[in-house]
Amino acid sequence: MVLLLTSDNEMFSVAEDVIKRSAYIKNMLEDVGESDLPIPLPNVESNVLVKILEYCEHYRGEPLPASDVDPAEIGDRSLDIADWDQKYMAVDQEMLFEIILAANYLDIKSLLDVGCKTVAKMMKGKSSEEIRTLFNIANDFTPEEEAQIRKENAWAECR
Amino acid sequence: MSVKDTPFLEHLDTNYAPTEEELPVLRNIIQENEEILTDLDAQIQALNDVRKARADFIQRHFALLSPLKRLPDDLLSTLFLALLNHPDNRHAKMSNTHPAVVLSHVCRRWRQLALDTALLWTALRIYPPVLPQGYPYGSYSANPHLSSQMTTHSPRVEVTRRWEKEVEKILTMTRVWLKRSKECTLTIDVHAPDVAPQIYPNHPTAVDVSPKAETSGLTALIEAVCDASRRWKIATLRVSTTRLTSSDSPFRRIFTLTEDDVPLLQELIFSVNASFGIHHEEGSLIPPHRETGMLGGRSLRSVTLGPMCVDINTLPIRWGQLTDIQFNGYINVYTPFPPGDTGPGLSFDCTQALNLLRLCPRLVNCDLSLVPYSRPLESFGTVSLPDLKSLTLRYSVPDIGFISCLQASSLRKLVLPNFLDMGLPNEHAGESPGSSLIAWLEAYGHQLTEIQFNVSTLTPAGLRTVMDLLPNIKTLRLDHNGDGASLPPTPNGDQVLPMPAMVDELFLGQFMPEREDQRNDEPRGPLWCPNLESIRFPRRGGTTFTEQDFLEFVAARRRMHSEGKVGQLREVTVMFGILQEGDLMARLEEMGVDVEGLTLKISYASRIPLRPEQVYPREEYDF
Repeated sequence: MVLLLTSDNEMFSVAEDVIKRSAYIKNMLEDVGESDLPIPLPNVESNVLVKILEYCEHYRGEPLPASDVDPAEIGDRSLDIADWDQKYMAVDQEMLFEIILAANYLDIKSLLDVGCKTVAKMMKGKSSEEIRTLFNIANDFTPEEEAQIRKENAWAECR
Repeated sequence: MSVKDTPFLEHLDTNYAPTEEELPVLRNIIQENEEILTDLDAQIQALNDVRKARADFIQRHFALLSPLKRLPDDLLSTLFLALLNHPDNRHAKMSNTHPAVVLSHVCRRWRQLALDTALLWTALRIYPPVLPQGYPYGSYSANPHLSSQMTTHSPRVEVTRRWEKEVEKILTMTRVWLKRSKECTLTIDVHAPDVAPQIYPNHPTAVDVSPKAETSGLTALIEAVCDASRRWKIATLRVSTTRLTSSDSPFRRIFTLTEDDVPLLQELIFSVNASFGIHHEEGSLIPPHRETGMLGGRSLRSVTLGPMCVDINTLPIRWGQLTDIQFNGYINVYTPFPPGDTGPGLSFDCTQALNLLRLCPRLVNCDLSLVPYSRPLESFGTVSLPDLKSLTLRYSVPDIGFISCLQASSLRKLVLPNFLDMGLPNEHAGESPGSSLIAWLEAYGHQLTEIQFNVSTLTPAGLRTVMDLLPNIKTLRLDHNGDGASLPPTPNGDQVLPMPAMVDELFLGQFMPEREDQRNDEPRGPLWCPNLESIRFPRRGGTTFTEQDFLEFVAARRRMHSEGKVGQLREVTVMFGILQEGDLMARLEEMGVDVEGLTLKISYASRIPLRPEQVYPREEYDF
């Protein structure tokens, strides 16, 4: 078993073959060897770790993806998000991005991939204004930048 | 205040008519309360303003919490790329709705990041609009002055000018994309028609719109794309030319690229459609040919070539390094000619195909279009393709002579669409080992996981033999020439040809365990395709099973999977030749079948009702 200590000081005891889906933990275990000391996860809160462990548990025993994934291929490896993954990702925006941040920190590439695909699906087909609304993003362009964007829109006008 | 306070309480909501004395009292009450109402409205408005300000205050603070804003740049950039790679965006045109452009218009941070993420801008899909062909410069007139006026103001000139502006826009976008993609490798997709200004070069009305002016934008566009050819990694170049030679074409720069111009090019799809037709003497002028230098690219691994008019072996391709090849045959050769006749010009037959395959020992995927009638194969040594996984042979199924030359120990996918066989079941097809398809499957059937073949070239017995030879198939795609396919005259007068195989309820039955109510007088063969995951039934006819048969088939396979007896059927594509009777997925659920992960792609031959609906309701107009 591996002990994990979250940023809000909660301790988790996790089976090694479950948490080894995280390349970060896997490398740490290989480097440090067996230890009774908990691995601190200062960037992961307990509620997020619970969710992450749910994912790792579900894919327990399945082969780990290749580690050298090109960022350009994120979202490209399969066309669809698996049914279970879709249900798993049916969370509020805050949790969704927390999962993505944690997957990135813990280096769980398949989970990061699913997270990115889920956000991509949310953004797909939306205008820049709709994306701002979706994610609470302010339009902070200067007048000069707005003018440049208008110019771009003119030459890139959809035919 | 309360309604009880009014002196008119007993008359409210009645038809009582007030007296002359009561009228001023009533008016007074109304006026007093209207003033109160106005005052209340003002208070509500003020409160609403306060509420709105408070909500806005909360929202603006809440927006700061947006978790997306906490993502570091590298992760946000990864999200951008995921959006670009979404299946719906794979073929996004360069426009203001392109995901990269949309992302760069969201906010300052996103814009900076989008412009810095060169990978967002590496796919250039360049589809110039088609300039309508026809008479190019307005109506003909012998009067040069009149002709000039007509030319200046003709709709044709307007269309031409608009076309030029569109090409100019695409050129601007192309330059922006090329600049923003920095030094990254590129995916280029050019699908461009030529224009034909010089078809009437001596026409008196050709003076106002010079050919050079009309195509300069297109030429500049091609130049811009080719200037970046050293960064091309994947290129799709489908162009049409109406020129008699390629030397004065706007695409000339493409045709003259050398192998040194495309050092990183790995995948190339190259097709030149010469719409004016090919003369054999001039054919070599139309690329690809031995002078098409980019075909010799050092990194080229995958080549797809459209129909062409020179011997494929003369192309400067480094055949030995190819892993993927698709060749659509020679121009003007798909008119069937009798066996023994060499036909017009070049023909890509079995001998040529084997010659080509011998040049490409590293092939993984191969897709060749063969002439329908091949010369008898002369003695030919072994062609070993140890890495070949997928083989597609179109228009003709090579026979045992071809198969015996081929060694493909890794072959997993065999596609033999064979639509030019006219649906005629050969007298012995499917029954003798000499049948080409059966010979293929006797050699490779046990190792295949995916196959596509044409059912209508087989007899019912032949189809059973074929299916028995496919024990490991996961993906099965069946074709059929159509129920109305005409049969040829019988070769020996009154000899009757066997009926072609049909995909019927007996066929489906072989995928299911034997039912108790089934007759046992016919021996059943082994269960077909225990690993089946995906099946596509013929789309053009050849199926006679009902919706109920289909439901039983799907339900049985899904249940057998849950019992651990067979692989999980995940995808079924079927086209019924009947009108829709019900929602099949819903009926499967009613039958208690687990449909999670199951995709049914069902269509019906026609949605047109057999009887037109009545315009008027019969009950009202039936006199």
